[in-house]
Amino acid sequence: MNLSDIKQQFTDKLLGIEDEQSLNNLEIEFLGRKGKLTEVLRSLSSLSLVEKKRMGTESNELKEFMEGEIKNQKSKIKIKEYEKIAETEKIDINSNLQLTTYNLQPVSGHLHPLSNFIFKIERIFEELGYEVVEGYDIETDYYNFEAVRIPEDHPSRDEHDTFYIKDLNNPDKKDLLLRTQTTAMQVRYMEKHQPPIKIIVPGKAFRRDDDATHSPMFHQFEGLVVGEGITLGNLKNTLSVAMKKLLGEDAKIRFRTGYFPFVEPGLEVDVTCTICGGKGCNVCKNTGWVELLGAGMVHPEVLKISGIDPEKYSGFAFGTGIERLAMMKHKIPNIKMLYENDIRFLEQF
Amino acid sequence: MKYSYKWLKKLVDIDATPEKLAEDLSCKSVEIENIEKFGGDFLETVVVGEIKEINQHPNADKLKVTIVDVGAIHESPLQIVCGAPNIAVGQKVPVALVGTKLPMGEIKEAKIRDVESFGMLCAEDELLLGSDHTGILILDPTIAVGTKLSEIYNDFVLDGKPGANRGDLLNHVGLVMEIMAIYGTKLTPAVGARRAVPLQVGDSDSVQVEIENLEACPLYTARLIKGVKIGPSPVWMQQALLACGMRPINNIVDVTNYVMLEYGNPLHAFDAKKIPEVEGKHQIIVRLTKKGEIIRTLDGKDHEIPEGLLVIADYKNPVAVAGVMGGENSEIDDTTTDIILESATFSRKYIRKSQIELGITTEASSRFAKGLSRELALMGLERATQLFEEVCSGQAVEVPIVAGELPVKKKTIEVDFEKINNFLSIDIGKDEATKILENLGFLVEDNKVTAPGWREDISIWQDIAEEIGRIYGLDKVREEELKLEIQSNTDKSIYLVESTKKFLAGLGLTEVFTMSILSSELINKTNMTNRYFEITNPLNEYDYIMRSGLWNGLLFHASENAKKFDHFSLFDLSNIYLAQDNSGGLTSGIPEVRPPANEEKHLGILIYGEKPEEGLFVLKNYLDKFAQNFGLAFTYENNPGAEFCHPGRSAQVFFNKEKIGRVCEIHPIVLENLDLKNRIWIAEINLQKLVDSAQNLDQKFSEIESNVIFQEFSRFEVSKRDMAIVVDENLSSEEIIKTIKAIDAKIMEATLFDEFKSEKLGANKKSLAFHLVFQANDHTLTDQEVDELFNQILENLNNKFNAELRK
Repeated sequence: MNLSDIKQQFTDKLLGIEDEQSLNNLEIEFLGRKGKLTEVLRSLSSLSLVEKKRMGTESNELKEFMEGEIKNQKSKIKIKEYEKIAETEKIDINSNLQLTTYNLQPVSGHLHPLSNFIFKIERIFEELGYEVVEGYDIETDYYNFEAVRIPEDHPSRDEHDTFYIKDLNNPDKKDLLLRTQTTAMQVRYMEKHQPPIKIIVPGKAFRRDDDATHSPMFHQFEGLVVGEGITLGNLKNTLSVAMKKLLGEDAKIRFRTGYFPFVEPGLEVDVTCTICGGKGCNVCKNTGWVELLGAGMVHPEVLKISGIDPEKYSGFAFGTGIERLAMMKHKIPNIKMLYENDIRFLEQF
Repeated sequence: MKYSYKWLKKLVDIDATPEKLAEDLSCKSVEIENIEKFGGDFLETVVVGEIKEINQHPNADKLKVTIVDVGAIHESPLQIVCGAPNIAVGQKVPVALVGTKLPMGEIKEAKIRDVESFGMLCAEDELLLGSDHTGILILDPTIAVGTKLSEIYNDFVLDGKPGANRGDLLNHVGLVMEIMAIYGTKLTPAVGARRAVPLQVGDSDSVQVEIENLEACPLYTARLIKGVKIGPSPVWMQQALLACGMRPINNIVDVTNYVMLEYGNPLHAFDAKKIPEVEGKHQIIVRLTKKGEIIRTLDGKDHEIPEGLLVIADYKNPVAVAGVMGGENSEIDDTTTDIILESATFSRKYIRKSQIELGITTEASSRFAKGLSRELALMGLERATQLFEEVCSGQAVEVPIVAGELPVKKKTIEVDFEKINNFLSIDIGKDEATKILENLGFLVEDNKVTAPGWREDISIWQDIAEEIGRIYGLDKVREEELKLEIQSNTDKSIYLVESTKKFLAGLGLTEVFTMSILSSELINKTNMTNRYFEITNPLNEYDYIMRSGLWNGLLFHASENAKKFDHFSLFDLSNIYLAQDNSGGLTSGIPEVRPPANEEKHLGILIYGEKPEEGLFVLKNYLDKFAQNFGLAFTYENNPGAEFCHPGRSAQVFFNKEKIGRVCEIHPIVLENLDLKNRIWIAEINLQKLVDSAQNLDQKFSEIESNVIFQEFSRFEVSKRDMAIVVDENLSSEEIIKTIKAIDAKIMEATLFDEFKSEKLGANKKSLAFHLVFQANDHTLTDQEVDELFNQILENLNNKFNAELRK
């Protein structure tokens, strides 16, 4: 028997097979230790070197062919078996079976620790008269960067390692991205609303970072206030009040200079270290302070680009990562734990 | 940027300790992330030794036996066994004496392969002075033998991170300006602060520079320095470089690095003889690359340079990637006598392009990428020329070469100091504000302020306000209560999310936060066929899919948790992304803004560990309770669903006749793919469609009101019976229950508790079993009354459905 005969025979037999057992038998018949292909290979010894080589290649191809076909057929049989479950295991959703086991024992559910913080933040700022708005996770380069003074070659882009999204309508355009900051909502909102503006924007943000303190997906909240005669003192008072509500009456804030392209002046805002109460410990590097928020007075160009007159209005903005708050409060060592969703972690909250 | 405390003190009087200085800088100028002592205490017993003899070790090929003179500290020279390849007689090297506690361990008298050794010659990493371990640290030959290394290496390193707009602070002189402003101190007379350097555009007698693209390179200055003698740089310079994390190489390279760390502009030195002359002048061309040009950089690698990158070229070939790295073909070597010193300004746009396309980032390029002003280039050229003459015995015989455009005077900004006081909520006098600005190098005339040339970040009055505010002290900002009222229009969906999550957690479900980005592997395993958005630059080759549903992620986390738990219920409430070209599904509180992509807020529930016949109903029960909570009701239609659904156990969920989601058992193939042993049920609901209809959400979450009217109920005893009947298998139990309840008002409840088929029952027949509850409003029912009602039910069912009591 030559190789093409084997192939023909195999193909013919395969056609009629509809169960797994016969398929296993077929595999042994052709590919087994005493199978037909092996027999042919044994007979090769009498051939010339050139012939041997040619036959070797061909028989290998045949072997791969047969193995592939058997695998295909196996999965087809499986799928076919599963086709029956539509009938054999059919359940009518409207038959309203009385359940036997359901809720025999009460179990306690759990909110994710990040949810707790998001709700708390929303509630605090609502009480202060803010409107809660959400933006979009998939944003455009314009709102995430350009409009908030981070043009293409700006050094701040180094800190925003960005995921880009393939635009289905313009596959070559590098315009759609996963927002790197909730700040992307500032100009979107201001384009549609004239002052007075007082919003808080919780939401997801994304950056191409992945280590113990960075997750490619994370959560932020952003506050934006615009009106006539808004001052740095208004910002200080707002954050002072809000942080006391969020972290406890003993929480104090400290302003330091900082840089964010969309505010001027820009600030880093520290709060009293919650671990040591400001006395100094490892977490706060013995300073008594922990860096918590970025903030500042809205840059006049950001107002202008949104259609708000910077001569008449001023404003402030602030924002921070929510994971950081949760990790600090619950002493969670690695940001990944927040996204592994291990029940042994979640049920502790 | 690592700042040397010692270096700073050389430039300006500082009374503050390193710690105090770091705190003040962090609040007012540059955030200092870390302070490190440079030169550990153990350097007290590490001394400078001179190698007198080197002999081969008798028992080891790679070891040598040295005799080292350590001066008066020890009466005779020490015998020390050493394995480093770079030692030679006459070198000055660090010797750790016996008893020294180095970070790696204590040095003891030892026999190394039978030869006695009294101490150790050290590499820089062993002394924590750098990272090099290729050989022994070779010291300046002019240092006296016996000098303690603690006398040479004693410094504090302040690791600081200036804002991305303050490239001018990535050097010591820049920081000194800030320190002066903070403490109001004066410069030490030895060193000048930053100041304008008067130069004119023009070539020298022997060097000609041509810039082809002024946007990419607005200014290029150079200086021919003749007769340099190459050797190690002086100890103070090496010490300063090491403290700042740079390795000393030779005096020429060290001077360029030192000036970069001092004044901020990266410099480069070319070997003049390697830059060919055209018509008697070394010709330097600053231009963009053409297609296919190749350069071998100083690190010995050949780079084919993409078209359009900024390079320094001779009349023919590139000799350096501008601002990034020099080329091997123009490198300084031992025979170099004349150098061409380059101090130029390259635009950040082109530097960033080179960094990205070549994949190279250097100390120089990262500075240029932040944007440096032309003043820094001029100052760098002057300072480096001076140091080349001092340290390398060179001579700058010709005039400086200047090409491009000299910096123009900065524009004047009008400020209103009163307005600044109000804006910042501080109370600073004009004189004090003026002094702050002047210390920072600003020019103040009445209410007109001009920024120094190197401050490219200053353009509006708010920038000036920031300067005043931060130096004056942001701790002095008054708190002022915000009196701004708005009409809040928070979208209902915000409240729906919170109340849904709290409700489901109350029902005993555990909330998960799944990733919006999914792996292709998971997509394949879960048989997903939807279209989806793709990330073009994912973190790895798998994680590039934006989820179009929550169920994939839920299944993944179920498969992980199923390894440890037999029973659980999870939910997730979050955004999904639909790769379809329509504009619906707004997730925002401001519906008039069209989103860039179609995002929807979904609720996903997953349950695991229920009995195969019951899971679907458990899940349905959750959905019904959820709907009820918001005063809504769902209906369900059997429907085979998508490929991940069990075709016989899947239904669509409707609300107000609109399809809003699905509830299903997961297809066994998917379970197999995920190695799940037990069955799983999943529901996914589009929450957005519920928002407008949820009655309880008419106000805010916190103000939900109940509109329920109390209904009186009977206080007499109830009676219970069970009834098992055999009916045609196509008959729905719901229909039967409806019929039963309609028979008499005293039949309070009829619920199905068992359903099965068996051949014993007859062909196409099934058994249904019901719990029945009877109660009257005005008396307790007697057994006889209940029996009558029971028989009445049976009779009705027999008439209507041909039902028989099961035997």
